[in-house]
Amino acid sequence: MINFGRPRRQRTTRRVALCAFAATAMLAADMSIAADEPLSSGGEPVVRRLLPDQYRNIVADIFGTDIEIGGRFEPDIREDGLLAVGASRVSVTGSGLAQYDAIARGIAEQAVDEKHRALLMPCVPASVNAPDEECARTALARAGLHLYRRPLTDEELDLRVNAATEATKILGDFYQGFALSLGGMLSSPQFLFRTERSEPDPDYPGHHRLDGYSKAERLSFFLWNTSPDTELLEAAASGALHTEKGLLKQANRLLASSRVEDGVRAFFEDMLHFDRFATFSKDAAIYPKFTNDATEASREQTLRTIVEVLLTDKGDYRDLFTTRKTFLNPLMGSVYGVPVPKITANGAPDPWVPHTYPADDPRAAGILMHASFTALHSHPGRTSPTLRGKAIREILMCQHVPDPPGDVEFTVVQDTENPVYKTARTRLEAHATEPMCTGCHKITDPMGLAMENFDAAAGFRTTENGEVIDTSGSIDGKVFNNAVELGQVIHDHPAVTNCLVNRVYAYAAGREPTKGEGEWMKYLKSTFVENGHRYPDLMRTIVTSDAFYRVAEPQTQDARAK
Amino acid sequence: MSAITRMASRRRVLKGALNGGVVTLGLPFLNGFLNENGTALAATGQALPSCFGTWFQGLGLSPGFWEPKEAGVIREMPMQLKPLEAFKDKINVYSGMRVFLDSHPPKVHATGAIAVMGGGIPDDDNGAFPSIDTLIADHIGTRTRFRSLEVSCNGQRFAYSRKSASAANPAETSPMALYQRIFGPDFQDPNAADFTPDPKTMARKSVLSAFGEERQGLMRELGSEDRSRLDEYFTALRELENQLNLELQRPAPLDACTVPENSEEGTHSMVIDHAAADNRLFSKLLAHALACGQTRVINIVFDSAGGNLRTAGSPVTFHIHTHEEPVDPAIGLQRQVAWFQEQCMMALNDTLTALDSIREGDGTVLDRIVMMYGTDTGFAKFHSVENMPMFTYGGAGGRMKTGIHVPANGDTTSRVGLTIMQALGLPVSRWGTESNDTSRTITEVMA
Amino acid sequence: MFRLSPASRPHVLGLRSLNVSVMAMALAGFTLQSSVAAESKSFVVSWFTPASYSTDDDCPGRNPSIDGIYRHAIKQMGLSPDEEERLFEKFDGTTGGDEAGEIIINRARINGVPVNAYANPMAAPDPNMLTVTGPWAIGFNLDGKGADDPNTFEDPFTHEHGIDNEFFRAMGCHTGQRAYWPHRVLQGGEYQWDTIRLTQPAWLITITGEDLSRDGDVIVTFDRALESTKWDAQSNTRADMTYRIDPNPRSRNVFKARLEGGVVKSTESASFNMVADPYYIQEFRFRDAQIRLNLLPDGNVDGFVGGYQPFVDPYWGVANGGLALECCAGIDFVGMYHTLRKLADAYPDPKTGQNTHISTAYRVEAVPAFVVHPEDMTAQASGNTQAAQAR
Repeated sequence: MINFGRPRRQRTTRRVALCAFAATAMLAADMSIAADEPLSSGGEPVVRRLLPDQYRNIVADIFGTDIEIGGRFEPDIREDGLLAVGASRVSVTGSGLAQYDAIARGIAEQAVDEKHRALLMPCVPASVNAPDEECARTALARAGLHLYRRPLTDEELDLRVNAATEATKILGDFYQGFALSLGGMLSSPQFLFRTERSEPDPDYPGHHRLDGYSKAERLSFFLWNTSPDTELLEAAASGALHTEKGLLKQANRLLASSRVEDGVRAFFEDMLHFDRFATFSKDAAIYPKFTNDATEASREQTLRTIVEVLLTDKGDYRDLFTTRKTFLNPLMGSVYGVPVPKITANGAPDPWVPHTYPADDPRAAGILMHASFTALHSHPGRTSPTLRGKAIREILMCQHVPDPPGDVEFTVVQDTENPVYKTARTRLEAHATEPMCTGCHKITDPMGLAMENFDAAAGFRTTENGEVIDTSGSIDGKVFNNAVELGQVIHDHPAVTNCLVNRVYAYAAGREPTKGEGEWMKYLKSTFVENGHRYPDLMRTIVTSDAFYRVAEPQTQDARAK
Repeated sequence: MSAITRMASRRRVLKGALNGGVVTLGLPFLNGFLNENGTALAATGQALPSCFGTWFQGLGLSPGFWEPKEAGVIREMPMQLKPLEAFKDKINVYSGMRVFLDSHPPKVHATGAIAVMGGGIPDDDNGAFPSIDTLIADHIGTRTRFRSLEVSCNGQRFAYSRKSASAANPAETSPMALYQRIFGPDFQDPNAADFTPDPKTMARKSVLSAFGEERQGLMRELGSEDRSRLDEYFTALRELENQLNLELQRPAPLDACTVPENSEEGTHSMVIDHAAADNRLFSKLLAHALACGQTRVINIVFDSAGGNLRTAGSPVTFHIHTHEEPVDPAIGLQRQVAWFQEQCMMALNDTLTALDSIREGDGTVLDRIVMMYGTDTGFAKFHSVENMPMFTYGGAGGRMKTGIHVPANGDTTSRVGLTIMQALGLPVSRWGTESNDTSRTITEVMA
Repeated sequence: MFRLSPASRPHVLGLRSLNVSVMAMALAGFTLQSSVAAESKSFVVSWFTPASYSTDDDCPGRNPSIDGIYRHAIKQMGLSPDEEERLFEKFDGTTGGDEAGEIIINRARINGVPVNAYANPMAAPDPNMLTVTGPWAIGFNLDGKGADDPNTFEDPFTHEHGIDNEFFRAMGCHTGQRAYWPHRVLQGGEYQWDTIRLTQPAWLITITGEDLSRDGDVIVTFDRALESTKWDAQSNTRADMTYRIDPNPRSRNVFKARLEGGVVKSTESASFNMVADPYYIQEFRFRDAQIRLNLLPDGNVDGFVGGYQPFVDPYWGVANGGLALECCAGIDFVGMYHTLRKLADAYPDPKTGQNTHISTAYRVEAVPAFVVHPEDMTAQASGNTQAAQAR
C-alpha cells in the first residue's frame, strides 16, 4: 500500500526539492515505497452547509437514534455534479432558518426530556425551576464540542450559558431554558456550516494547512458522513492528527469501521443523483408495477450492490458496470421479472436477497441496468435514449452535454404510438436529422439506444410496438451490440475512472480540484489505477495524503488586514 | 437560480414595494409573513395567520369522474367537481392516492376515514392516532379562544377529530348552539381584548438575540464569498427575530370581524336537504369565527363515514345505493350514487362560498385557510380504499399554490396531510405509520 | 438452492414461459433436475366472482329493494298498515332502528315465537323471489345431459346448450346481483373479494404442458399461497410477484385439461376446494368441477370454474352479515335461502331427497406470477434471511 511508515519530515524535504528540481524529484530513498504523492498547493478552505443526512446522523450520534427530526430542510443545489459541492455555495434563507429553528427546538426538547436527559447532561441542576449556570456551562460545553466539531470559545460558551439563564428565568424551568439555548446552537452557523480553518504549517514554512479540527471534520464527514467522534476530536486537540502516525491511526480506525458504509452510500447517492427520487414518479397507467415503494427500493438495490462490490468484495470500481451480482426484494423481482420469494411473515418488511444473473443474461449489465438508472433517466411514460446517454456522459464521465436549443420540434420523438417510427431509434433518427440537433445526439444517443431493452420503468423488453429493438452502436470508436457490451465499454473507458476520482475528491474537499492540485490529481488517478481501481484504497489515499489538508493562502479579513 | 439569489431578488422586490408604503420597517421580512402581493402587510404590519380545516363526507366520489384529465394547472373541472367550478383556482386535486392496509383487516368505512385523517391504521378500532387537525391545532391553535371547532351536519355528534383513542372531540350538531358558544356572552372582541405575550416566544427571542452578537467573530474567519453567505444567514436570523417581535406585539386588527346574526336552530337530521341547510348555517358561523380570530382550526362533518344520508321519505340511504345499484353501462356510473355525490359537492361549494365571502384586505378567509377533504372510501361500491379522492381548498395564506392537479398514483394519502402540515410550518418531516408513512412532500403545491 | 421439481410434480414450480423460466431459475440458483423440462405458466388470481351474464329481458321483473323486502316481511307478519307506517317512520335504512330492526331480524317463527330469520330461514315464509327466465348463462354442462335437458341455459360465449347454472337463475333478478358483461357481480362477489384480496393468502393457478405455444394436453392446478397478493400503482393485482405454495393440501386442485387455440378446457371433472375468507365464503367447495381458461395476448388469464356447490355455502357467505348486510346487499336473505333450496339440482340427501348442491359458475381472472414450492427453497431461504439480517 501507500504512504505507510514514511517519516513526515523526509517527505517535506523532498517536496521542497520538488519545487526546485521537479525532474529529479524521485529520490532513491522514496523508490522503496509505493508511488509518492507530488506537491499540491491546495485550495481555499470551504464553508459547507450540512446536508440533511449529515444533520440526521449527527443528531442521532449525539442525542440518541430515537430522536425524531421533524421538518423540511432547505433544498440543496448540485454544482459540478455534486450536492456536496453545492453545499459550499448555499446559504440559509429566512424561511429556511425558520425551519432549521423549528427542527432544532424539536430536537432540543426531546434531548432534555426525561428519557434522553441522562445521555446529554453530565450534571443535575440545583433546582429545576431556576438557573444553574455551572451545570448549564458543563453540559453546553460538552454538547457544543460535538455540535461545533471543536471546543467552544469562552465568548461562545458565555453567550450560550447566559442565554440558557435568561430563558430559564423567563420560563421558570431549567430544562426548558437549557433546551432553548441548545436549540439555538443547533440553528447556529457554527453548527449548520462546516467552516474550515487554516493555520501556518510549521513543517512547511510559508504554507498553510487545515487546523486539527478541520482535518478531523474532513476525515469524518468523508468516511462516515457525520461529525467527528470523541476519539477523533481528541486526536485533533492533541495535535496527533498533524503527525503521520496519528493521522494513519485515525484514518485506519475510521476505514475499518462498518460506518464507512454510510460514507460510501452518501457519496454514491450524491454522485448518482439519487436525490431526484424524492420528486420522481412513473405514469401508473403505463407502468403500474412502478409503485412508490418500488421507487424507494430501486435506490436501495443499487446502493446495496455498490457496497457489496466495493466494500464487501473489495472489487474493481469499474465492475459496477458489468457485475452480474445485485440484491433484490420481491417487489423489485416483479419489476425485473425475476422470481424472488418473500421469506418473511406477511406484513413484515420484504427481505433483500443476493442475486446473481447468469453469464448470458441480457440484464446482467451492472448498475446501469438497475431501475435507479434506467427509470430515473427516463420520462414518466417513455424511455429517453438521449437522457440516458446524457446521464452516462455527465454523471459517469464528467462530460458536459449542452442543453437542447429552445425552439426544437419534439413531436416525433414523443409520439410513442407513431405508426411509422415504432422504436425510439427510428423516432430519434427522424428527429435528429435536423442539423442543429445531430451534433449533440451523436454524443448521447448511441449509449442510450443500447439500453432500449429496458423500458422507462426498468422492465426488460426485446420489442417496441412489435418491432425488434436494435441495441447496437458505438462510442468513441468502441463498438457494442447490447447493454451488456455497453457495460464493458463503459468499464474500459478511461473517462469513467478519471471522473470517479475527480468526483470523490471534489466530494471530500467540497470543491472542484484547483489548478495547483493538478499533479496531485494525476497522482491520485494513477494510484487508483495501479491499485486495481479499489474504492477503499482511493479513500485511504485521499485521507492519508498531505494534499487533502493543504490550504492555499487564505483570503480572510484578518489576512487582508495584515 | 440558486436559493441564495432567489432569496436576494425576492427581498429586493419587497423592499421596493415597501418604500412607498405606510409602514417603515428597518429589516427585511420573512417570506411567510406576506401574502402574494404584500398589500395586507403594508396595511397592517402583519399578515393574518394561516388556518386549517377539514370537510368530511362519507362514501367519497366515483372513480374516473373527479380526476382532471391533465396534471398541472386545472383547466377544466371534471364532471363530479363541476359544482365547485367557482373555486377552480382555489382547489388542488390529488388523484390516485390510496390507503395501505398492510396486514390490518379492512374495517369497512372506518379504516379509510381513520387513515386519511390520522395517517395510518391503528390496531384499536377507534383509532389511536391523533388526527391531523389536532396535530395542527397543537401548533397553531394554542393561543386562540377555541383550539378547534367541530360541527356535524347529520345530527351525529361524531367528528373525525381526536387526540387519541380516548380523546375525541365531539361535534356540535346545532347551529344555534354553536352560535351561542362562539358569539354568545363569552365572545371576546379580538380587537378589544387584552394581549399577553407568550413567555416562550419571549424566551426564544432572548436566545436568538444573543446569538446575533457572534456575527463579527465568525466573519473574521471567512473569505469574501463565504462572508456574504454568512451575511445571508444573519439576515435570515434578523428576519426570525423580527417574526418573534411581531408575535410579541398585539396581533393585527381583524378588520373583517363582524358578529353574525343569531343562527337558526337547523334541523340536524339524516335527510340530505336538511344536512345541506345545516352545513350552510355552520359554514357561515365558522367563517365568522375564523375572521374574528376565535379559532384557527375547524372541522366540518357533512356526513359520516358510511354515508347515512337519504332523501326525504325514502328509507334507502346513500350507503345502500352504493352497494345495491348496478353501474349504468350507458354512463359508467351508479346514477343514484352520483346524485348523492353531486349533492355533497354542492354542500362543499356552500362551505367554500361562505369562507370566500368574507373579505380581508385583498384576500378572503378561504385564501388564508387550507381545507382538506376527507372521506372513507375511493369506491364505495365495495369499500375500496384505493383511488381515494383527495382535495385541498385555499392557499393557507400564500403558503400553498392552488389550482393544481397532482397525479400521485399508488402513493399514500398521508402525503396530503404531510404537505399541509409543512405548509403551515409544523416541524414534521414525515407522517403516517407502516406503509402509510411518508416523507414525500407534494412539492408541486408548496409555495 | 432452489430446485426445479421433477416432472412428476410439474405444478410446484411454474414460471411464465420457458425462456424466462430457464433464465430466471438459473439466476435464482435453481438447478435443472428433470431432463424433459415441462413448460409452466403461473398466475395469481386477481378476481373470483360469480359468473353473471345479465340481459335486459331475462327476468319477469326485479326483486324489491330493501324497503320493499321489509314492508313485505312486515305484511307477512300480519302487522297493520298503521303499524307498518309507524315502524317505517323511524327506519333509517341501515339498521332499521331499534324497534323495526328487532322485528325484521326476528321475522321467523318457531312455535309462534319470533326467532332470528337468518339462522332459521325455513321458519320464515318464502317470499317467492323472482328468478331468471332468460336463455343465457355462463357455465358448464355439469350433469352431462344434452341440450334438451330442461332448466338449462346456453353459454353466451361458447354457445353450448345444456348449461347448468341454477345459482345464476336464483340470484339474477336482484338489482344488486345483476351484472352486464363484462361487469362483475357486486354483492357476494366483487365487493367481498375486493375486501379480502389484500389480506387473504393469494390464489395461484399454474398451467403446465410440454409446449404451451402449441395445442396439447396440460395440467392445471389451483393452489393457495403463503403470501397475500400485492397491488400495483393502479390498485390492481400486481403482476410478476413471486408466491410460495402453501404445503397444506386442503386447497390444492389438479385438473387434467387440453390447450387448444389459446383456450384451456378441463377434460375430466374434478373436485375444487379453495379456502377463502368468512367475509366472502369460508371455503369454495365444488363437486364435479370443470374449468375453461383463456390465455390472453397481454399475458393474463380469464375464464370460468364451475361445479356443484352446497347451496348453503353462498347463503352463509352473506347471511352471516345479518341485517346490516341484508340492507346493503338488497337481497332478502330468507328468500335467497328458499330459492337456492328450491333450485338445488344435485346430490340429494339420501333421507329427504332434498338436493344439497346447486350448479354454479365463477369467473376467474388472473395475472402472471412466479410460483415456488416452499420445500424447494427452505435451505436457500434461511441462507437469504441470514444475509438479509446481517445488513
